[in-house]
Amino acid sequence: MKRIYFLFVAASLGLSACFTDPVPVFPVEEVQGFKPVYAEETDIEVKLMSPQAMRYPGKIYVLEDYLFINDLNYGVHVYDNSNPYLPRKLGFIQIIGNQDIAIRNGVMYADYLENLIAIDLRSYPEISVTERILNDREGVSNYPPNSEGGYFECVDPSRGTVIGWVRATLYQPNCYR
Amino acid sequence: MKRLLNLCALMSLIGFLMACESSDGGGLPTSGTGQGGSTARFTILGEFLYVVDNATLRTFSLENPTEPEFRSVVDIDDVVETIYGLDDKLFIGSQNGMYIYDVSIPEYPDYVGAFSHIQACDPVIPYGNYAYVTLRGGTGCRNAANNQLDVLDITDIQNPFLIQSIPMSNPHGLGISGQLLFVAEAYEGIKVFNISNPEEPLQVGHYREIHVVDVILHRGLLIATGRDGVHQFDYTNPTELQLVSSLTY
Repeated sequence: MKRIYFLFVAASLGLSACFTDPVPVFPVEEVQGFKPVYAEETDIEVKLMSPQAMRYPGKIYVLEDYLFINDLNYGVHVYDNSNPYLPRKLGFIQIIGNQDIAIRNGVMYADYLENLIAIDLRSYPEISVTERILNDREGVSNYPPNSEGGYFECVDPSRGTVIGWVRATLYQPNCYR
Repeated sequence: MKRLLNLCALMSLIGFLMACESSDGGGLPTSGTGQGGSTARFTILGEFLYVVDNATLRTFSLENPTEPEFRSVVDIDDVVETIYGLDDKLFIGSQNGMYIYDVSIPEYPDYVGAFSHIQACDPVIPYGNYAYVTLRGGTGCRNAANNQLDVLDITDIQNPFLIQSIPMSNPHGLGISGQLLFVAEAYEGIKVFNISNPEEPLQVGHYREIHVVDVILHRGLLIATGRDGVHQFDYTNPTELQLVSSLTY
């Protein structure tokens, strides 16, 4: 129930923001851009899921006959590439905030929010997080990862900690970089 | 069960297409080390994981694979973007240049040399006594005016120097296989250079039809990633890359 509750909070906040915030600076009704992901409103469990649609393709990583394709700040798509003419989607490992991975001896190392984690893949499709090391770096930026610039939904500190950014259709965004 | 239903309701509400059960698929390889592209921030050499993050290089021991241990951190006075490991060297691309660290003692990377240039976005990849660096201008990449491929001599690893710069359109990642250098050129696709004379890369091919930001050479395949998806090529004939498949999003 907790998750549902958070969703409603998120939805009502989102709606109220749409109705009450005028956009004096950027007269844009609807535009593609980035919006922040808040820890308090997100399922941040590291887990294997069924194949997912790609949201925002990131870096690639190869290991023998397997392809790992990062989905910016969401996780990693796993492909069986033993037939490169017909790569086959195996699943999606949800790792919120993830951009980079490396794999050795069946263990994946990944950035996950503020952490470096180790994910044991040796019993795939059973996976488990076996280590979590807190980074000493700063948290996820309060600015979106769009190196080419563009609109984004302003961070609302009252909604909690920003743990990543996702592409979305924005309505009257107030921020731009 | 109720929790499961709630979860599914939530997911469908926010528009994600997902099932509640994990997928099929056999086991993944349980040995060996994988390979990232030139824009990676993680690299594994031997039993150590090196991570660059903003202005640091951190080292983790993988002696116990499932429980990596932090070993050391090096501050790099720059905006660090990429890392590439080869033998006992780390090649780090940053906004102000290329840094080389020696990891003969794996726990403690030791600074050995650098090559500075105007600010740009720039992965680096070594090739014998040479290194290739792409410099990309434009917003988000600071104020670099030029888009170019730099050829560096790193014979004296403490004093890399520039041999020449080759004008490019919008270069991102790069990769090498044998005597071929592949450069991702964003909306202009992939350029292929023959580097049998490493100081004089000679363009021999150009595949234009796709958007590419990074490449990995793996088992005779050129794997290129870009805005629209992942494309795999047979590069047996480098002047004419043969598209093997495309994973489009």
